[in-house]
Amino acid sequence: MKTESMKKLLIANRGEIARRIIRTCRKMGIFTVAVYSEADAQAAFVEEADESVCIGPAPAVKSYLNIDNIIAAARQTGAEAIHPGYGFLSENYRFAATCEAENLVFIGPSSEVIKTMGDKLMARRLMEAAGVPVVPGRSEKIGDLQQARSAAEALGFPVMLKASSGGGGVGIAKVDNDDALSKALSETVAKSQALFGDGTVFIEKFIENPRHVEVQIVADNKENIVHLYERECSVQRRNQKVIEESPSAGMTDAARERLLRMALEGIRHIGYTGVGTLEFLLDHDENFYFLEMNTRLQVEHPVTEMITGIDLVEMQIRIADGEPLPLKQQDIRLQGHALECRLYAEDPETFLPQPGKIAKLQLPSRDTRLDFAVREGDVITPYYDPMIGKIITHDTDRNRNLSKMLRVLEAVNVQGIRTNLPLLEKILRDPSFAAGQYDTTLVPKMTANTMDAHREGLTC
Amino acid sequence: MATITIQTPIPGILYHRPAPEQACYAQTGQKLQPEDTICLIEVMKTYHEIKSGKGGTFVRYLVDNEAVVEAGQDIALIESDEN
Repeated sequence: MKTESMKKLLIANRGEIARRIIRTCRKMGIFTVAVYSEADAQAAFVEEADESVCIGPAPAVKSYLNIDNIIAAARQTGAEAIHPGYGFLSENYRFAATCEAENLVFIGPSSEVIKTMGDKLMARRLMEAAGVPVVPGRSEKIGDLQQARSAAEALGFPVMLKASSGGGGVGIAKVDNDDALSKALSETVAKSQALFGDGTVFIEKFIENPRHVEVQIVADNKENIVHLYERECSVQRRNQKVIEESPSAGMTDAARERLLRMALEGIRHIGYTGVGTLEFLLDHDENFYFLEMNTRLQVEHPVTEMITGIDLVEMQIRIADGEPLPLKQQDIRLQGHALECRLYAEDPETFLPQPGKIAKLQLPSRDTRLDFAVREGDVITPYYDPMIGKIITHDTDRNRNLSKMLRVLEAVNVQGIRTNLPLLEKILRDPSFAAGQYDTTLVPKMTANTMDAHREGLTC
Repeated sequence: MATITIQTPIPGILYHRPAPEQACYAQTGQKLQPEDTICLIEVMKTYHEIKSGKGGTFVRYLVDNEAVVEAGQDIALIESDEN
């Protein structure tokens, strides 16, 4: 169970993912160091780690994004490795490069690969060269309005303008017609320059009502690459995921096989090591298009762990420690069906975040895996992500698993703050979700009326 | 003329400026339309512009820049144009 060399690991993250990483480290006999902001001094993950170091005040830029303070905490505690979790510094190539320069093991791919795949235009070109389908568009920087216009006319409106340094739904603009193009282009360039320090923008065709499906891959330093099947992530609000499942319900076996094969070819082409995810858009004719790559652990990794029985955090640590993959593709079996519901501290209709004290937190103890950030009595501050926990279920097939998840959700009781629990139950009972026939428009359609009313309300 | 207080409908971290290097949304003596933004509230990685809601003249903020505010808290004073 133990690794060859790793004895102490620092977790440069917080909340449920810090607790999740601690669990695997404990199993592997690795000591853990939590780093925390002043706002998180009482948090569960700080208590559960073997050691903890305060790295600054509540705002993330002063603590969880403060590279100098995190490196100093690793030096002070003698940690040999840093796990970045997801979000924060997990895809920051400067952080990975600093770890490399400081002889700290960064649990993830090389800083060079993070930099390359973080450049959306470069990632698009690489995938194109590997033969992976990309969204119809131009794999070049848009130099001026004339170039944008000729590209948009060739593709046909609507089109998407995308910031090359953006991602996760930030720095993108849908353009419906030629009249709107000039303004959208100058705004996207300016926003991209302001947010990312890079005004490079490119253009793609807008895919109508797509589904969002991603492929989990694992690669070691010895050119062994496997996939761990796909995750269906089309249940989204504000471009962020709410419910994920694996396997995807609405995909034929032929399409799945093609998707998984393409993902492996793409990964082989870029020389990736570690755990990573290729995100794709699927249209209603089962055409799929590479969207972006996440060079880190995903929030929704538990659904993959449930259907394969593989601990992805353990895989990350072993690969970063130089070990070869312990299994081959034929050893990985897709078993049953897994679902993950993200419980957010937010209004179920307006999606407005709800900081506050969790007066009561009752969770079922059977039939579910609970990856939670908080305990009863904890206070949710306004500083970080509204996700307070993930509820994961697994069963032999999708129908049984949907029923199981509904029973589990009915047994969840959170008081003191509003959560999206009613929305989760509503989605699970939705006929198109139950039939597996849904795309990214599912939640926006369900909540369209209340959102309009809310928008009018805010300006009154 | 009446002095009225503006409340925030949502909790979070209140900013007087759209970005650290930019000017405040509102300065003392500045004329405001109801749709003018007077501050920005950050809550759990989302950003919300808080509008004046009333026409008038900006008097002052009632909370510091980067202060944590509760929903319903008084955040600014304005002299209303209405009688």
